[in-house]
Amino acid sequence: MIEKLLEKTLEIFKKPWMVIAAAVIITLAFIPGIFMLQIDNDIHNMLPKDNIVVKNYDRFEDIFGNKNLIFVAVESDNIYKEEVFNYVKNLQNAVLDINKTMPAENIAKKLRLTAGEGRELVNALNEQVIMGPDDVKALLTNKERLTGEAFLDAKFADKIVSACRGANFTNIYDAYHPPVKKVDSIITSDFIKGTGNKFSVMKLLDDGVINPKNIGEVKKRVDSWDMYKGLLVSRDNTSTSLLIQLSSKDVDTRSAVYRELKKITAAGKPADIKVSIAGEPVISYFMTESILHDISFLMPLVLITVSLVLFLSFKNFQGVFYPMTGLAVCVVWTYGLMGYCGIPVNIVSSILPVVLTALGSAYGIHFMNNYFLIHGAGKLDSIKKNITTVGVGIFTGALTAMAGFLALLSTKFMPLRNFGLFTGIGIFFALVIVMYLLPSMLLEIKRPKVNFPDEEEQGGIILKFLKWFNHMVQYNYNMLLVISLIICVVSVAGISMLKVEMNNAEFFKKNAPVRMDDDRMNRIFDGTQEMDLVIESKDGSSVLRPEILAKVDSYKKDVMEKFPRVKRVMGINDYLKKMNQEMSGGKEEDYILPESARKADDYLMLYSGALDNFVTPKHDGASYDIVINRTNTMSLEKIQKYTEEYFRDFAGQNNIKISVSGTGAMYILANNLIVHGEIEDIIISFIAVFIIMMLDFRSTGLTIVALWPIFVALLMDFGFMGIVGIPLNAATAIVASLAIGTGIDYSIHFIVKYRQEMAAMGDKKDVGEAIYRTIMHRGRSIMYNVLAVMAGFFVLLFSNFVPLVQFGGLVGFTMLTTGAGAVIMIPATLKYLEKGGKTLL
Amino acid sequence: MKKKIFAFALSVLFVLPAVRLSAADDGLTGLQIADKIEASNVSSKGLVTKAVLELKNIASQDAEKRGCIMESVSENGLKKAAFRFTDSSYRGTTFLTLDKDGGDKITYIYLASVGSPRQIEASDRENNFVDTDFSNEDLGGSNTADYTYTRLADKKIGDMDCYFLEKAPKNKSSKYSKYQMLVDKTSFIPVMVKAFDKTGRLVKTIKMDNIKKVSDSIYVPYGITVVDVDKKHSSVITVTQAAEKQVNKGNFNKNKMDMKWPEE
Repeated sequence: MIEKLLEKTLEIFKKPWMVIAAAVIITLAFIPGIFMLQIDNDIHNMLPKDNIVVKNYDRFEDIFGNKNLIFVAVESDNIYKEEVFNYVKNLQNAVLDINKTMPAENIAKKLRLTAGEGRELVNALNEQVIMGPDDVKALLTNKERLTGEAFLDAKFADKIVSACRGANFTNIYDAYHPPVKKVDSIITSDFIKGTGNKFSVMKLLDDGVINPKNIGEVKKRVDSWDMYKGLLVSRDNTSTSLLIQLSSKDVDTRSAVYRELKKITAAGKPADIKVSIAGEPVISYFMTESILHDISFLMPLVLITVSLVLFLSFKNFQGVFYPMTGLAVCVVWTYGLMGYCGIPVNIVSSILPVVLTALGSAYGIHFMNNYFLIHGAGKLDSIKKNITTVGVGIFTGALTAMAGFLALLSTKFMPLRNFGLFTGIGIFFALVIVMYLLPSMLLEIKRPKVNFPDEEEQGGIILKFLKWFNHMVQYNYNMLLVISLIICVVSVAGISMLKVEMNNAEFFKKNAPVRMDDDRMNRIFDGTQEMDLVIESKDGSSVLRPEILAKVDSYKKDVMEKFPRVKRVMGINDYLKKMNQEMSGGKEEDYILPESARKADDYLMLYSGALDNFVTPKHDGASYDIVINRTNTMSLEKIQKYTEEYFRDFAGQNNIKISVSGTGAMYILANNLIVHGEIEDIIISFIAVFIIMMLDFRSTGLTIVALWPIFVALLMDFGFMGIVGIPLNAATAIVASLAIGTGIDYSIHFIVKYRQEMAAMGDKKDVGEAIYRTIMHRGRSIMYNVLAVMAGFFVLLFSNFVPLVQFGGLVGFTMLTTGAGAVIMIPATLKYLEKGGKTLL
Repeated sequence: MKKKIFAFALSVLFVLPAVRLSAADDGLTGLQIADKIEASNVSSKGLVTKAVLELKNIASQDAEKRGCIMESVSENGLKKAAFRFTDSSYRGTTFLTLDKDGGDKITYIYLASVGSPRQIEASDRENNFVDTDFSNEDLGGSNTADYTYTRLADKKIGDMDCYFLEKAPKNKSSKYSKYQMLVDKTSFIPVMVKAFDKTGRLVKTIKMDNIKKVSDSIYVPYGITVVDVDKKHSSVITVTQAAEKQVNKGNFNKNKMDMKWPEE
């Protein structure tokens, strides 16, 4: 069926230059798309927006603000000295100054204005009531308002209106909005001070004046309330932190803040002060930087590596140049399409060029290998013959690979879904390029004088391997099958130890600066990970009722006992206790919760500091920060489940709703989506590949035999991961798709050739002889293919990201096992079945 | 050349002062206008205003209404003003501002559950009054001496002639960098106040409209709208009754803030 389909397309080669011209035009059209690509590693943007965890996160962020803080640790031998305080004060002022400069820079960048125009426009916006994107749009798209209300000259107003055509005003509003919402430090944090029977809220440092007396007072204040220790000041007094809350959700803006922060912290830093910066926005920034590095470093490396493998395989220029040109075109088309579709690059899709190059090279190898093997025919005839013979295998292989990757569409984890979709599309592009562009290029050049001997005549170490494989298969097939069964059993045991981990910080190598800073911060302070316990009233009543506050207090004690990584549960309780203490004369025994909701409400009325991170204005909702010393996501899930269970009955009895939110909850969701997606992906991939092969082979037995090595390879992969402790994450989860979609390629090529050999024997069918001929004639190209793909993926061992290193190693390993499976296990099974009287034809 | 110099000298002598006079033809400086605002619309007898306060989340349109009463009186040139919620869970919550000799002010808040009144520190004046968008200053706690005033060119808003002032806080730790005020020349009511944060962004507006004359010398804005731009929240006071009448002076005694008012 496929052969007939391919035959119909051969007409295209009457005008090969048109194919080349079309490819050039399409490539040029896709190039601008590449420049539209954005890198986005925000875990929030990787999750489905309609999921309750994401909806809650967004809702709570609107109510309580973004709790993804940037932590700046300032270390010295002792922080209570003028030098440290002066540095922290200057640092804090400089951070707040970002709000004065960055909006103008951002607006200028978004609207392609000069720096001066950006400032002028921001000044104009500053004079208006701007509450959201609609207000920005209403002003910037209205020339009359720009000139009449904002007093801009007509020419500049025209330029702005023009620049805003088709613009995304949410992005523009975000660019205009001051990126830093709040900075807390040892200087400006609120302190509740009692005077007689009242309290007042002041800053930790009186009047911002730095002198020994005031610094001494700060120390007393910090020591007097455990809110600060472990958060603003390390327990050994050698470090203090600035907690920077960002208001911007824009990935570029957050990155820009971090870059600015790096400059600010370096400026005027005394030699004996050490500064570290950590937090989710910082990790996200480093991921972006590392992805850029990976793409710019690994892409050339994979091209060189695959070129080298192609050269070693064919030992001529044509065998390298044409497949590689095709692969480069394939990557441009795929990334260009992603750019046009607004799909961001993240840690998963950053490996797309490597995957396409490695997989596409396999198609090129099969095509060129067969092309060089056809002797005596003209160029056009050789190519036509190539397409209707090896082309069938390439087509089926590409179809199964596409099925394997498109099965990832079943997952709800966006990076995997997008990766599956665009790799599937990329493979389709690779198929079209190898089947039509590559032959068209070959037709337009003079056929090289390549003395490409028949497979069996090529000799070398590969031939020795192939002969050894054949010997093993022919005489020890029973032992080979027993070994594969033992591997399966061991692998299943390994799978039971498999862990899931989707945690951005763990993606970096232990010696990466970002990881070291984060580790240091987790050693010095309570932790950089957080989840939020949010309590909402169902009937609009106050959640500051004594029974609710008391329950949170008991939860705090219990959760910290059960999970030592939970270092604090911080929220309105701490403030109410302090207010109560100060209102009662400051006695230690009065550091207790107020006895009535009304009293709690009234305390908050008297409190002049900002508590909107912890309680809603109507007191019908409260958010508590569960501060966690960095741990794995599976442990976070245990804390989440414990918390939900802890409040389950209580919530029902008290008409309140409990949610565990925050970044930690999003990582837990990502983990679950990856696991569920992985199971669905494997099932769908197997079914899809099974159907495709059934349609091609029209034999259930042969299809099962072809899938058998893939099944064993998958078990080995996951078993190996479990045994050596490689977790399942966004990157390693793709291995299954690759194993099924790509590994099957080898099986297909082997079985197609085996059937051809059996068919050629007519009535005198001899399975052993057919196996021998298949191994000798297809074994070499399968091994070249394995080597090329392995080499391509092994390039990822040089990645900055631990999961990509693991992924590269695992895929290389999988290619080896599936390739070996094709030339060893499939014939061994066929031989075994022959003894049972079955030839499967 | 001499003619040019002569013309320039003439312009310096006559034209520039004329420009200046056109901006301030009544001779009032910014500070004097601010003082006039303080001194206007007060009564030695008393002024009682009943109103409804509506708090609205602009994004969600969730709104909540509360009844309130505002009373003020002037004694020996010193102003006393009180604000009280008359219903909802906030019933009885009272805010009191008393002018002190020397131009300073002292403010108290009374909360039923806490009992005795609490003095609001000067540093808390810019903070909001309970959960409203009004700051403690907006409710009468503002001290003229805490700001520097610049009078800008007058503006006309519809038929209303207005002074245009810019005031800047003297305290460097203030939340705001400056305010712009349009003040009705007739009633001395600031019909529009814009507050700008430290980055220069407009973060709060106060609009007073529907100004009515309730006695010979007293004007009352029947609509006061405060918008917190950052929080996307507004507080709207709609006056239902306003009258100059005798008020109980005890209502302005910090020790009697728990006392029920006859007007409640």
